[in-house]
Amino acid sequence: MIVRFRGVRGSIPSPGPATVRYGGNTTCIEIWTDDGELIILDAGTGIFPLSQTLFDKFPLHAHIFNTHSHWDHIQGLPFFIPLFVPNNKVTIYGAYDPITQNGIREILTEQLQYRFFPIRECELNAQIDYRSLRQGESVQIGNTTVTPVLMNHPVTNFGYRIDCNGKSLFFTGDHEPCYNIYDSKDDEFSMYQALIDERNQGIIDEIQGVDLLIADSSYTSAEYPAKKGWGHGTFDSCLEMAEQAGVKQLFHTHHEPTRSDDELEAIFKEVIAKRKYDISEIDLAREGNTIEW
Amino acid sequence: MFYGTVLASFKVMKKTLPADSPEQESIHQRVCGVVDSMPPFPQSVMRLMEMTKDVNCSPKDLVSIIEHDPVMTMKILKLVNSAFFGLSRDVVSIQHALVFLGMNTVKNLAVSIASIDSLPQKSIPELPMESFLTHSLGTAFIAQRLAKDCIQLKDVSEYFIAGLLHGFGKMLFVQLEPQRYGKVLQHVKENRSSLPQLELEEIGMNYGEVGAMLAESWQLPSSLVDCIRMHLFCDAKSSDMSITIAAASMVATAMELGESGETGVDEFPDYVHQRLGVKLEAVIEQFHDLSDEVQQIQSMVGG
Repeated sequence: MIVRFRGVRGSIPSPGPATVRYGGNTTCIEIWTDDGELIILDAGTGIFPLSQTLFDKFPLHAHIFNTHSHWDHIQGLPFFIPLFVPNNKVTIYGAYDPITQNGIREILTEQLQYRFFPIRECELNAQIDYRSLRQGESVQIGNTTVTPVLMNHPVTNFGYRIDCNGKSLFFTGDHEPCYNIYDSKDDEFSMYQALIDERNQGIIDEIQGVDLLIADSSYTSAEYPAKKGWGHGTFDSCLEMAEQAGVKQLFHTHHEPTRSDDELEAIFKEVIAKRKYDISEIDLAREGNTIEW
Repeated sequence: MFYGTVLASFKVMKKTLPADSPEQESIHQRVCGVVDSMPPFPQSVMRLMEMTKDVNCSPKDLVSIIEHDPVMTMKILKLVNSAFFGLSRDVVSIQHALVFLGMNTVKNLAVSIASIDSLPQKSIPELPMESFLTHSLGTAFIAQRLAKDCIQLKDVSEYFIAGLLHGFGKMLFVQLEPQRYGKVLQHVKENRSSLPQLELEEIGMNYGEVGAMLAESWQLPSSLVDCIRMHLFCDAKSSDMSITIAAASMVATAMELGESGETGVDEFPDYVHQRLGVKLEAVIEQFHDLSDEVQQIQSMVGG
């Protein structure tokens, strides 16, 4: 399996000299399975440079799994060049949105409104299929199984577990561990805590034992109180999650757009120096970085 | 004409239709259709809109507003238990829904439910909706206390929800055929007769059955569906929840917390006494100490 980071930045593209080492594109992860299938996790702006490497593989079938519909995870979708070329197939998977009552199809339809983009949906030449997924409803792609897991974010967000020939990875998308809304003196505190413990454990169970965990580590623990409820994790929460799930390798991603490479490295150094974690490898996701095993 | 047709269908169904017939399917759709366009209580809408002006509003307050409104509660439980989420376990409370859907989604769902204005909520003098809501809330509060004190349960949120929703079928009857249901309620009041019995005779279904039918078609947890249906027919073998809700409703009726439309009783039936180990009088006495909570209920529905 080959995993390559194409976009590791959260919220908004952040190009410039201060982010040149880790990259400024928003979320996109390229995966090639052992039997040669292309799986793409999220279509942030990183999907555009990825798409330019695919010409010699046409006609191809790309499977794009969307974690959720916020801009930084869909912004590159209209620029995914295989969509425009006949004989290519693109299947787009993602969550149903309970508020707008829309499935995954509407994302591209909305983006390609003539006012926003010069090419209309009906002018895309590839065969495009859409599949709205439910929690736990696995998709089989060749030898690979992709399983959506409901995470915690202001909009419905699926994490995806990918299993292929005994190799595995999990990508959280955007995720904030659930927290207790009651004060410890409230009657409801322990009841709510039990629900949260069960819910967080359910997520850990889904991640259990993966080779590679790619997790939303937007904030430091010091920054978190001001951002509580925004739907993102911290470096510490991801380390704990990785440790509890017994993962082999953890990559922190969804880097804050205002954070320079130097600041990012300083924070990372400080976080992992705090204590020893029972995780073989811990690193920062970096645009262009490839993991093969 | 539409309502008459629905009620005529109820009669036919009760007497002759098999459970999975196309006619019953159509009744499900009609009942669900009425509820889909049913707005929540205006006080809940006002409180919700006021609260959500603040982008950082408190999740605790949000839960409190939603779980004091049967319409919002029913609709949110419907969504979170629907096949779209495919959750591996039943979601039985608003707190539980919050844990799965997240604060923002629940807030926006509540706001979208609150903005439904296609069908004004009907109210009839024989059972004003605010009085019905007070009874439902009273039953919910009492049920969770009984569950905690008499059954020694730690998580009593499901009992609160069951208390809140146990009489939802009455709301459906008021929406579907207000005049006819008004006469049924009037007759019960004048003759101190059994409301479920008269509903069955006059309408073809009792409020427990129609409420359960809706809850079932919305795929709400089976424990909740059974309780809504069976709390009217309790005996010594009934579930803890059915007996507790039946008892709580009797207490709320006896304490004249709002209006239930039902005839009050002077004493708990034996099966309640045996299961909960308390007498009606003692529970009423106990709840006199809870006047703050009761006042809180009254002020909530009073706007």
